[in-house]
Amino acid sequence: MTGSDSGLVIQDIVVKYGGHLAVNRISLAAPRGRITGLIGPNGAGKTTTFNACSGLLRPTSGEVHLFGHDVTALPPQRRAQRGLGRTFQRMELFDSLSVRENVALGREAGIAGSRPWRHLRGARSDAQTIAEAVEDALRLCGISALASRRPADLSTGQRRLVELARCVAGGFSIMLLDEPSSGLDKQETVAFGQILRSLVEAQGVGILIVEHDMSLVMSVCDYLHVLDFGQPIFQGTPAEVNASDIVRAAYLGSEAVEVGLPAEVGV
Amino acid sequence: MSEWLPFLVFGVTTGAIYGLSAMGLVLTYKTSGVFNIAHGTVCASAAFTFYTLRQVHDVPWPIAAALVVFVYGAVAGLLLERMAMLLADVSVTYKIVGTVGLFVAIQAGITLIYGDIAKNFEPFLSQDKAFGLPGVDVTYDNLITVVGCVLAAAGLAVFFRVARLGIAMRAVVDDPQLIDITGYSPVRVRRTAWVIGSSFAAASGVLLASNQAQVDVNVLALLVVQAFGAATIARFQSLPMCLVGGVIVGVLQKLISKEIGSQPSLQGLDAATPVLILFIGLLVIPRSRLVEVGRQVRARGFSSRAGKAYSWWYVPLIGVALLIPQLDEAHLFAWNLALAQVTLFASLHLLVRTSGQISLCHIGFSALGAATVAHMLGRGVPFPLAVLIAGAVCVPPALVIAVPAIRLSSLYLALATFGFGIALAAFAYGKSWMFASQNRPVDRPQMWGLQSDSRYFYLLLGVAVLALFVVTVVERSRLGRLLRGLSDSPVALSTLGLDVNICRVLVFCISGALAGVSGAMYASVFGGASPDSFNYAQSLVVLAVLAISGSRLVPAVLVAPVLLYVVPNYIDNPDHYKLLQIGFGLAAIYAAAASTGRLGSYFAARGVAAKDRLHGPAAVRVDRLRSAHLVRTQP
Repeated sequence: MTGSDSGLVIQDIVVKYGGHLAVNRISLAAPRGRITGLIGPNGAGKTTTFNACSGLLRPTSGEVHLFGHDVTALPPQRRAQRGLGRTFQRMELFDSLSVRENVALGREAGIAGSRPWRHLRGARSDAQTIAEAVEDALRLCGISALASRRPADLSTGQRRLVELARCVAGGFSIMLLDEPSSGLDKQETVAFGQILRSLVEAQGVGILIVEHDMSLVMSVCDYLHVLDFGQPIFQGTPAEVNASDIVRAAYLGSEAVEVGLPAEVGV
Repeated sequence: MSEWLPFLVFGVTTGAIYGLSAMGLVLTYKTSGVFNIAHGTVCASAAFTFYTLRQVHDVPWPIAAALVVFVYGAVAGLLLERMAMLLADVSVTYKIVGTVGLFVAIQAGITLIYGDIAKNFEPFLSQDKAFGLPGVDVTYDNLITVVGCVLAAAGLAVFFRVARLGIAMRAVVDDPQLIDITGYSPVRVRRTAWVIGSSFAAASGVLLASNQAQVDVNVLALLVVQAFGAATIARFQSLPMCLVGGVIVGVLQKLISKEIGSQPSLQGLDAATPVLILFIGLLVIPRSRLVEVGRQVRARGFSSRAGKAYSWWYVPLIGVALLIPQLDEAHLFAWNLALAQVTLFASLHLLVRTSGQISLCHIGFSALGAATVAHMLGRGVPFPLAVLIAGAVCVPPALVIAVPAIRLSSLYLALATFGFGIALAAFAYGKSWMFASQNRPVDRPQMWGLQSDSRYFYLLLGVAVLALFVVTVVERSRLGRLLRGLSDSPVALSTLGLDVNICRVLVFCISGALAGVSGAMYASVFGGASPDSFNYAQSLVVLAVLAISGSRLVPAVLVAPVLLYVVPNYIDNPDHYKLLQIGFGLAAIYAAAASTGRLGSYFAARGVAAKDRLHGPAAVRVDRLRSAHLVRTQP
């Protein structure tokens, strides 16, 4: 699974914080054209895995491959330049910029990259590329009307959409979305799921999503990996995960499974 | 060996005092997350208090020492703890601005009371011989100083490891609320740490003054820099290692001073030793070991909002400015100085407000620019080209400072820049390639009657408008957006593909170059460049004044130089000028504390704390609730 079409592949990732083993030998793949879910109870190691994927922390051991290249030692910006974007559980928006400028920076930051001259001045073609990317991203996420407002003035749900639009404008092939629906109401969550599906189907991007909202996970994900206490405990399609006693035990406790509590995991 | 021993003995003695000071600094940093740039001025104020008690009021030295260390130290600690509480929820940059404000206020306060000139300080410990070593007699004051500092370090180390309050001090900075529910009041824990830290600062100030037989605010304020060096060796974490670090700094300084005695080209290198240690530390200590202490707060509300670059009111503003030579001829020289410094404030605004970085050495860049323009003009280079070269010369030093510190955080950049400014003043100002302790002539262009202040005003106005235009263009360019993004969330920018370190180095270099240009213009107003015009402490004053001058580019960089140069020119009484400086410092602390717009929540929290004092901390209240519930549920 480390070929150039395989998108993001992590192999036997181990992350230790001092003596604490936060993530233990997790392997997964998030290819293009698929939404891959990463679920598990709180403290399972999902965000730590995300940080290891995006380069915000260096795994103790294991490898991260992006389109066939080993990126384990690369910093976040180099991974982003190779097509890996992400959003954050605790939103990281640029509050001093307007929504449009936020989304534009999604593309401009990548264009500037590691070239000092590009930080200072853009190429002639940049302006049109950025403008098109911004308009497309705003439209896709349904926030064109908010373009001139500041993120600080928006609701949590709208801020989530701005962060997604910024990631979309970046033109990344693989997106890591960390609890993107937290703070959204039911309707917003459904609409959010539709945006994700259209991203995958129309643009062929690959998405790796960490999410606690099981209705969203079960409705949009093609494949799921389940973690518990930093260990991978199950993987399969949403239907297989839903039927798994191991997963139910992780979420509800083994006693609940033995006494025959409802089979669906939080749906 | 015997020729080295005297320097070793003196080095160990002064080093122990540096270590004591560093312990106080690191202790308060570890427990509050606030790195007190004003630590040296606290030492200085204690030394002056001791001086007043002993030499003015004839109080016996043991009583004076006890009053200064235990009473003055405690009171200063309690006040500083209040300030640290105000700064607890602001970004690192504003925490630094707050303590810079304190530095400015205390230094101005001391010079208001005692004047600028050093006072003789009668050593109070016996200087009789305790024992002899080859080539040197070790005196009782050396011995008592070193043993006292070692005992203080050992006592503090034991306290941290054994006492519950000491362990609580280690925990309070990570999560004060968790400390609260264990039954310990985080306020009490912090307060104790600040009292101990300030008492250490007071003791180190008094000991250093006694060691040097003089009390000088400018020397003692630098004790914080010696403490930087010692704290770097302790990686800003280990208290006992601070003492070791202090001794290393002290010994190195004395040994270097011995070696450079016969080499004029190296004069001042001893004073720069702690800064060199700091730089080496920043280069070699792994990033993971230099984590910042305290809650990491994003610089919300700190970024400058992008104003409309060509607002209509700029036109009448320039119109009024054009009339100043006619309207206020008596203070025209001050207006010229202010205009020359518009470029400096614009450069600092770009760095501090737009990108969320910090610099405590911009006056150093100005000095480099001033010296360069003097040398260039002396070699017949045309004035405009000389000014541009003055800006360009500042880029390499900006790179040298920025690259090691920038991989870390705002705090370490602040320390590196502060250290650089001091090292530059101590080591370079006196060299022939800078000022060589003389006023180097900087002649104004020989055209259009620019020799007169009233004509020169218009050239300075043109340069100021040009600088504002350049900074406005940068702020509205891609770089400006990237810088504002950098200020808000560097992590997000890096995951979008931007190399944020390049962005940081770029803005630091641009800002340094503009500061160099401002230095060149500033020197041209005087008609010469001398070390006195570029005191390192002025870097802190300009930052404090910028902090209180608003967040928008144009108003801020116009108001700040007027506050700093024109307003004092209307004040005849020098004491009133000192009071004004104290006001700048206190206002900067307020501006820093209010930066997140949550000063109200602080006072609300004070209300809760007051209730806590009446009814006990959270855990006690939980117990009471539980008891009340049990009473109700019992049959």
